[in-house]
Amino acid sequence: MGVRLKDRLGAGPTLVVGAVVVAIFALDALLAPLVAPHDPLHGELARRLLPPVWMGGSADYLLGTDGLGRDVLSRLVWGARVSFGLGLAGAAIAAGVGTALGMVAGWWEGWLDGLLGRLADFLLAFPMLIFAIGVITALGSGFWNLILALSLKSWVEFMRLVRGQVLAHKQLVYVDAAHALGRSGAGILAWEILPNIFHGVLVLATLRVGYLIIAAASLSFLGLGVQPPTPEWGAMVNDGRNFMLSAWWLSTFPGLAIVVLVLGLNLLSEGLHELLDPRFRDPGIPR
Amino acid sequence: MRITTLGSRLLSTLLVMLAITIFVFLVMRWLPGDPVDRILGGSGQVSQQQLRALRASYHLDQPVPLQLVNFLGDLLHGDIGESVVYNRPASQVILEHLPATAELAVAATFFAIGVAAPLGVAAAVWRGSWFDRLASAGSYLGISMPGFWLGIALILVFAVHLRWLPVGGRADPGAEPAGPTGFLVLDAILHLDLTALASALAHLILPAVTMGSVMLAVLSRVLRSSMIEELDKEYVALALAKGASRRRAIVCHALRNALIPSVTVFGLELGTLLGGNMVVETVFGWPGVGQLAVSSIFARDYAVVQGVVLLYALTFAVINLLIDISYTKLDPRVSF
Amino acid sequence: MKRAWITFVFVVASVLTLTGCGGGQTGSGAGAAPTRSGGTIVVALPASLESYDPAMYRSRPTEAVLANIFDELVVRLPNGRIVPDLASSYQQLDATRWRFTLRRNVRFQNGQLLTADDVKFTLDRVSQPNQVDGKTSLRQSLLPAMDPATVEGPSSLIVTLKSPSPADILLAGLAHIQIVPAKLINGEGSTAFAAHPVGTGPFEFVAGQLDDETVLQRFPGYWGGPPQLGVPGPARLDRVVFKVIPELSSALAGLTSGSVQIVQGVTPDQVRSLKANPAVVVKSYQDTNTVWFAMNVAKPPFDRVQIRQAMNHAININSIVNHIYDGQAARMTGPVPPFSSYYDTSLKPYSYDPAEAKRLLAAGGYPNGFSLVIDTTAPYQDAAEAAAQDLQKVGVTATVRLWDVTALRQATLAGQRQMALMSWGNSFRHPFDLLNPTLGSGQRGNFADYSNPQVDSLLAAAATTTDHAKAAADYAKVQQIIYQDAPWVFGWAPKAIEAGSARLRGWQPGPDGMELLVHVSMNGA
Repeated sequence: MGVRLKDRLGAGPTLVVGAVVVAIFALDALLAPLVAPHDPLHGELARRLLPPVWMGGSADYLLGTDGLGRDVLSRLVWGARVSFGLGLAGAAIAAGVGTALGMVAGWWEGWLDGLLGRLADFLLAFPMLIFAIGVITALGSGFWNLILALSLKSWVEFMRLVRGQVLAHKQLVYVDAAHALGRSGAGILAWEILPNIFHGVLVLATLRVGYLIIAAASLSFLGLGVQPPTPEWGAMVNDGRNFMLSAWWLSTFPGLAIVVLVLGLNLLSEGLHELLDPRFRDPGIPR
Repeated sequence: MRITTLGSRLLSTLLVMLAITIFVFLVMRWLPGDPVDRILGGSGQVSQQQLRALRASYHLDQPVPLQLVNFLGDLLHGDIGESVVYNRPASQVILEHLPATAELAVAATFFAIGVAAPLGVAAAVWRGSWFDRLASAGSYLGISMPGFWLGIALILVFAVHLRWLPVGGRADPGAEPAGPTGFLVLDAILHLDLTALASALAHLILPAVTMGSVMLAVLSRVLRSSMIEELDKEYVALALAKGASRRRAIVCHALRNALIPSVTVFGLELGTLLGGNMVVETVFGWPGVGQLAVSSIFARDYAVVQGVVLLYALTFAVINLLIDISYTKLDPRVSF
Repeated sequence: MKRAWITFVFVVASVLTLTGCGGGQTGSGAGAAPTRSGGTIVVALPASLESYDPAMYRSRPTEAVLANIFDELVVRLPNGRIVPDLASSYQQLDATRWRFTLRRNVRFQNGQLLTADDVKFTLDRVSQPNQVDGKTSLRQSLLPAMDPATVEGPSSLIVTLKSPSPADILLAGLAHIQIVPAKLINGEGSTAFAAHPVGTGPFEFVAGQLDDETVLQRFPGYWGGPPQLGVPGPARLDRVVFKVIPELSSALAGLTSGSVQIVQGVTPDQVRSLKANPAVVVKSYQDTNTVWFAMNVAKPPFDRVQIRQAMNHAININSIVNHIYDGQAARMTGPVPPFSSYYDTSLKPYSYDPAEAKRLLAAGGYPNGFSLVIDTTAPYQDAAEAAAQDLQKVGVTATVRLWDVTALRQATLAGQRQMALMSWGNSFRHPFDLLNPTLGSGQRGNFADYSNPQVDSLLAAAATTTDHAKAAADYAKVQQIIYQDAPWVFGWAPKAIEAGSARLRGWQPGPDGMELLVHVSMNGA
């Protein structure tokens, strides 16, 4: 859609707001041991289900305690590591695999391209949540099992994006020039084309981080997430659901954390898109 | 040319469906435990001999390749097998749950389009205004919201605290009109049953809003940008110059063309809507196909899971086909 | 007129039948009984039903519904005692033969009289292989192995067991077998019957979808029920709707708003806030499930008895019962729960004693502890995490892993788990359906991979003797051995909690989540 860029979002602060939000969460994840007031894994049953401080709770536990007496705030803080980590790792794997396969498919085309195309059709038509539930049921809960279950489909988009870009760039002058200089196909792909299409991958990857955080949380919500007592926001929402009538804050805060981080990631992605859009840098690409 | 394109599309769709069928069959067999174990559960003294006999009576003692061959053979005759949990043909079980899911999807779509269309158009017409910015912020929030959490939040506010709307389910207990369509709203109208109609509508609101929110956010953004593009084109100015009213120019000329990208996005979102409804159906206790799929995986109800996956894949293929066809309707330049 | 030859064992019952004796009336609203007070109630069930065919289900929600449509030969009262129901009396003829005499004038909801043929048909349909559309009944294992029953007369039949079996095991099983009409099923087939079940119970089936709602209405021709249940004649309520609401908070919100009257499966956390609501009453009763940590005795570190005993001292079961269950559970001291009549009262629970646990760990060769994964399922996640925290205190690095229950059972039985927090039902309230499957060598619930020839032979002897005292002695011996051997960390038996509208009268939740609604009425309905 050839939309004028400035019109896309009323322009402007998107990138900054997104970057700041994401940076705050990233810092929170990195510095969790310093930020969190308590151990997120240990609680005393004797002080379970304390309300947040403004509802008569204790100042020691600002956001109250959960069903096992663990500090909700500390679990939220540490949860950033897990949830953000899930999103980042998942997106990195998907982007890596998808980009590599996309470059191969776009550059050499042929039977491999056809095969990957059919595989992509297959994966897109397969209800992935059902598959993910199957994987977790068979392998058990856990961080890497969750990533495995989620990555299986998410690389397809990267492959399609990169394949299309490679097909387009193949016909450009600079690639011909590289050929003339006697560089190998793999060399041209890695050193000439990849840098030129990387921004697209980056924009999509940023978007995918948010998407994967939500997907992982949804699986956790169905009881198929990370291994307890690991604090993961989706699992925290799910745990809190049992106390929905008596302790609404247990599922509200981790849910809010997901919304804010994913919102930040979406804004960042859009901002990057505005900043890096190929139509500014490579006006020569046919569209 | 058109015929052959369509033909090869259908063929490749068929192949993909076959691959999906075999794949889900194998995934289900790969899961530890079988339906008999699940049904017997954690109680009772069952001798090994009784256990073997039970498994055999469900044909679970056969080797997996043979089971697969039998399954594919039955599939050729349109038989997707028997639900072990419900002791009935799996197709019947799935069909019983289909109206609930379809009704929710339709309601969510109505909600999404109904709000997104005016929102997107207005944001485009008054671009840069506070309204545009607000709508844009809202749409960002919409796509950033996990469905399960939005559902819980809506339940907490509107059902638990305000008590305006029911917490879950499709109808008040006992208020379900019997048939004939399975769509409760339609059935209630057919039976002229106002109580049932009110109950069905009230139960639809929160799940439909939850489900439709992402589609609403995406659609309104796409519609806004394509409207802006169209409004900038010469023909709109031309239509205005010819004396068409501004409203007519926007609705009849610009909107028609702006709808094309929206239809693609709508179709893709509808696919996610149908495939992603497990979570929302779980939150609202909505007795649809999504919830059936989740519980059937845990129950190792092989035939039902296979049937649901096949149904999803089929829906996905049909939607993609419809998107392509709708292009030709909306834009005479496109043909396929 | 038929009253003339009523010869019930219970005199009261015959009087009660008068009120319910709408004769052969069938269908809805035909006979107005004097005791009715009308009204509709909605019961929220935590999980979907499995079938309307009484031979093809195992789950409790299914039984909660079917027990209102059907009757059994004998019935278990809320206090746990088993009394005659459709049977007016029963008599053991010798080691393997039993005579059941039926009540007369009992009618199915389609108007047919209950005869011994129906009971024979029901028992054979469950006990003999491949009787339900070629499949074997899922309830076969609830009955001891038996020959096809022999009909003696219109209301008397003989049941012959393949080998001797204690009376309480046979009766406990029969209390779960709902009697179905032979002629109807022979005529229309099992599939049609499962779509519209017909029984002799106080409510008749109107319509339903297994995982949504089931609507029942009062059966005016109900025979009245066993007098021990205190039931004068037909049901009071006009209609009962069983609604599957998996989300507890949804069900409870329905209860507070008045659209639901009974909620099963309430968790202990909810009790306090529910009790504060004057419109709600909370009832809890001892359930029959047992929960325990099975340790894989075939592999290190749990191949050493000291280590297994150390675990019993290290995990603070009382704290789990008091905090996570809010006191709504009974602690187990050995493998048999306290509510069982075979419970060995001489055993004292393992004390919570981290120092003793450390001493035993050292004695067993693990002075520095070890690392451990506790595998469990979602319902027991909190308890497993609490236990993991306790184990940290004695140097055992424990984490928790969640599985779907079928997968976990499979993996644990294959010996792939160290410690699994599992549950096993004991609806017979008899050690037979608890100890045999969970501690007998190679059995379906033997998650600890425990194998002890002495225990096997004691269990086998107790399950085949008709001498109650000898069985009790055998079971006591087994309990002492298992207590010492400690293949489990002995856990707890949760109570079941249900919440209901304060307007309900006569509501007493039955054992095993059976919701016997015949004597329930609604105030002000």
